[in-house]
Amino acid sequence: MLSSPSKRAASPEIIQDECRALLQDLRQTIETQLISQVSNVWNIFGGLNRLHPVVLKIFKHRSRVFNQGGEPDLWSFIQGLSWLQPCLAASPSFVPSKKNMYLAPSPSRHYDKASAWVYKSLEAHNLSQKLSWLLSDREHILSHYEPNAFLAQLQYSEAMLICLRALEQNQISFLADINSSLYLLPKRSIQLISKTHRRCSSSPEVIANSKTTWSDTKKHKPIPSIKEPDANLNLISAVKSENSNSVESRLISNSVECFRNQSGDSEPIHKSPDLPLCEVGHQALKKSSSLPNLFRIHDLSGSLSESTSKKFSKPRSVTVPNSPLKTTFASPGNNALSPSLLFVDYKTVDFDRTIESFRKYHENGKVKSNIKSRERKKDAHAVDINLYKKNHKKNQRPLNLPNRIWEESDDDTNSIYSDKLSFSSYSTLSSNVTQKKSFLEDAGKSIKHMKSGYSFPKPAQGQSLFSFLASSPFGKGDAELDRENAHFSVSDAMIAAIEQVKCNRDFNLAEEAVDDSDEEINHLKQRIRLRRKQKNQERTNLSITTFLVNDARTDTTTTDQSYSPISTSPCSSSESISSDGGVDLDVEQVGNLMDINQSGLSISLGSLYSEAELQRPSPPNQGESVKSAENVALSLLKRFKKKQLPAASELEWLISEQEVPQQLLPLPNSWPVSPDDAEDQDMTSATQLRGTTEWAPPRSHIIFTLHPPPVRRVLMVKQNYRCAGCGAKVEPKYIRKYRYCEYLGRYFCTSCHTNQTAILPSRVLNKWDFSKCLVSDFSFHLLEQMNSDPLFNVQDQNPNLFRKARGLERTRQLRWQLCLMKAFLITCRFATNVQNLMKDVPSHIIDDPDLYSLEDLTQVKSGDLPTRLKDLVDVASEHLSDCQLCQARGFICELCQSDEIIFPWQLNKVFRCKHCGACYHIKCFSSATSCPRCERISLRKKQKIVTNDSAS
Amino acid sequence: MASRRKLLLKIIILGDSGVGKTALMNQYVNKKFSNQYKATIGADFLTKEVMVDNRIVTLQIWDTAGQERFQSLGVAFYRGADGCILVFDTTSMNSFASLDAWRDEFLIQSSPKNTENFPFVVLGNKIDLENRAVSTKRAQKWCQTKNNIPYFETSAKEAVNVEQAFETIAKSAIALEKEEIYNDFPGDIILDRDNKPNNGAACNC
Repeated sequence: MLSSPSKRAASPEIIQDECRALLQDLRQTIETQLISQVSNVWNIFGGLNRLHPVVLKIFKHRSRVFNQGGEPDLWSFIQGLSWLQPCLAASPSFVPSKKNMYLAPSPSRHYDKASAWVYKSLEAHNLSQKLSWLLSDREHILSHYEPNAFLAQLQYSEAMLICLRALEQNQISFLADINSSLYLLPKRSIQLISKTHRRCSSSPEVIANSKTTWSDTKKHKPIPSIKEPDANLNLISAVKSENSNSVESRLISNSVECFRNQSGDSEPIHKSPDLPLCEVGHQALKKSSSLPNLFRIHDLSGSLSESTSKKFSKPRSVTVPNSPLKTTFASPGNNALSPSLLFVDYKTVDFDRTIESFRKYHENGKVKSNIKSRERKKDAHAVDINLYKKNHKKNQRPLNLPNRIWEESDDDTNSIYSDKLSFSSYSTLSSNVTQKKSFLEDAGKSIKHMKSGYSFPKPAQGQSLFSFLASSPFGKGDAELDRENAHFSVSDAMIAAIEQVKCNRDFNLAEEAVDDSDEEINHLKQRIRLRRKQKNQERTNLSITTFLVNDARTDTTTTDQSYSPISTSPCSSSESISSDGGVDLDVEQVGNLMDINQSGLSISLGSLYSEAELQRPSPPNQGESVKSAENVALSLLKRFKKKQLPAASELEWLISEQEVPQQLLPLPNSWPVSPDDAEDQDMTSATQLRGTTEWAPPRSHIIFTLHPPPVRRVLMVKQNYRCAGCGAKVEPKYIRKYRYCEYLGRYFCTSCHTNQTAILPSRVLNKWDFSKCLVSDFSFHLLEQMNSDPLFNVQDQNPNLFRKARGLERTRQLRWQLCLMKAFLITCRFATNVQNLMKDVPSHIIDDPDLYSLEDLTQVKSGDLPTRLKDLVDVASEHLSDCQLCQARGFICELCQSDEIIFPWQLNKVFRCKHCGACYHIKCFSSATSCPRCERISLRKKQKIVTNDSAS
Repeated sequence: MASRRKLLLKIIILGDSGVGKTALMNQYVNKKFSNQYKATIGADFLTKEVMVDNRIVTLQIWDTAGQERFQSLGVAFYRGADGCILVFDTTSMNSFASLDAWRDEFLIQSSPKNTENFPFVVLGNKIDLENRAVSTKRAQKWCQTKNNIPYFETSAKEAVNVEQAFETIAKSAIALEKEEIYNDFPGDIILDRDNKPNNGAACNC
């Protein structure tokens, strides 16, 4: 708990640090989940459970309302939704009521309804919407939070909304919209960064950052940390560490977001001194004038700008939740709002917009160059003028007003286009929201391993790289690490292939070069290439502006030193040289770039290619796999002629299998296939090998038995010093670092074991012990998944438990009673009431009285289950004793022939014959030798046989 | 006078599954027939008011499940029955052969005071069908051996003899009732003490 009453007087710095830490936590949690690019983020390895506490922490930060237990009480805050936005309030008022208690998440993790609400909202992808409404009312916030609470501070709460939206829309790029000044300041934030999963380093963000290495970093001075939070520029989050001066990501762009509005009446907004947008942005520009400044008209989709400037245009799209926060922006006088508020781009792809932003960008570039440096102007203009003269002549405005940003209210087609896009993204999003599966449904298969033991396939002799990439099911294991490793391997192969092509070219050209020895010609050629490259970079940058706004101008000033040897080498095809003269950035080209961008091309790879290669459109790949490494590679390779490419097997892989033995054991080259299956083409792909002799991923087993107390040394030897979760090897001297998973009885690395705790079925079944044990993440999710599945037959597993646990015995009796009553209740036309009550109980509770889920057992322990069942039994018995029909269907003890109607669920006085179902008083039956009804039935059967025989 | 009292007669229909018990009852009470077969679960009843011997009599007709698999439910409703209709399918020998068992079980479970003279009626149903398996003669013979149980050949589909059969059982039940009233025998069992759920069941007030 970050905020407790005792901490009330904490210093502002500490509180700011807390907020920052919370935001970092949230962002990183979401980032790690989005990286894997799964269609539904909740499919990932317990993402929801990692995120839930983080979000909850934020909700609790410096809350003013406390319940009796001294815990922050969020429920009253959440309930504000019922008057802020009643149409959403239907869901917040969802609480585990008595009726559907069974459906609610287990009480152990969700100890109150507020927490359950957060959980449900996260799961349903609508927390951001709800939260934005909650945050729209300042008074409501302040009545529940301290003024310096996370949620009460606009810049933090807005950042949180962005995070949540990124998650809900599965767009990692949104995270870049978070005002990065929020991360800046003390070194603490750096420590926080290191908390991420070390191996998840192939995040697109990192790629984007590393891309900037070609730029001249010397030009950039360290970013001045912006003190006043209101002067938020969108310092793109690339800057994580202030002191890593040279390496990467010095590239910050102050992209002041200008939103676009259709009615063309944006000027008042920008002029308005009340609005921080331009003013603040400009101030900050001055302050950090050494930074490359970029006024960017963000490629907002129409839907977004609509919501930001609701005032000016009518709603056009359903994508954007009608966030009240944004609407308030349009009202003047709201100084506190930061520009980052506006910066929510829902669309990364909108090429018309990109052109526009491109133009803006250069316009601004010129402005800057007017002010700053002539040199820059020269460099930037060389390309710029061409561009926007050709495409946007009509849109030119005087350049002597550097502060102003113009908005074109031109093309309606744009907005339609973007509307479509945003709508489609919305629909795919909603279709991706799937329910979590229970253990019984998929036997735990939906729980993703960190690593499955899958290894990168080897190309066959002579196989072309193209066919190799197209054929192999890379990263099919679906495990996070496998996909990542496959990504590396593919990149590796690509680089190797390109290097080889280059090498061949160089070799060929060296012979021709004899003629072109003229220095001037060479110089000119180089300049041409330079320009092309520069444009290429700019365009690439722009197309990825949503991610990282790059300033190419600074690069252009130093291009002579900075361009990479790759791009200067004559690697571009002859046709690109021929088309050199008229390099216009027309719509089609941008479109192509967009295609590439869409297919997940990282900038670093993109910059390897000349624009001619990028000109040809990549095939419109659809679906999830578009972003996979091999698809990106394939789309790149398509730009080469096949014959130019070396065969996959000939490639010199930079990192060979021998150097880094990823593959622990050689996999067989062929699988045994029975002759019948020989026809089956999918046979090989269907066969999945699992693990190696050294290590195999954990299985989704239900473990009933207790593990012997672990001896670390012995067990680690057994595990070959490998993490049971991902197979990571550890030096024997560091085995202390590994953590024991009480469920699987294995040691895990700290990535696979984050000290989660869970109740273990083995302990419950053997010792009626509900203490929470440390388990690996895998086990945690497995146990979570099986939590409500009836998997444990206590009668079979350990009948002694009934004697040990009274509640369990009581539950067993109640469940049997209900089971016997059910036959009466479901056939009675007067029992609809009870029937409805019974529907709310999970079917196994009544139908399989001996089967228990972990959840049931926990509720038996807490007394919840027997109490609830008792209530149900009471209601049912009341009906049964009053109902004419049910009474008529009762039994009469034919041994004593008394008039008393007896029922099978009167366990302590009625005996029921298991064969014929007749009921007797236990007393009466104890004197009888056998069931008289059964005797009659068997007698009749015999007679029937006799008569049949005699008849025949 | 006792004869002025409204009478509630409890009639039970028994027989193998699919012989047409529910159809007979529906034909008698609702004058409706459906060709669709739907197995009866447990037991349920319909009521009908009729005039018998110038008295209003409420017949509470209990339709039962012929299938043995519904043994999780009991037959406490046999108790206090005033009459029993045994039904077989004239096209099915087996259903006729089961009559014995039905009669025995009924007498054991209901344990009437007067086992010998308990009012029964035997109905051979589905005479509209052509593939007859049980001859009239054979059925009549069986009825004679069981203390001259009245026998009717009926068709629930074409409403043949249905009225007569129910009238007969009502009459013999009243006859027995009179006898018992005369003997000052206590009336019904618990079942009638609460008529709340059933709007059709007559109450004594």
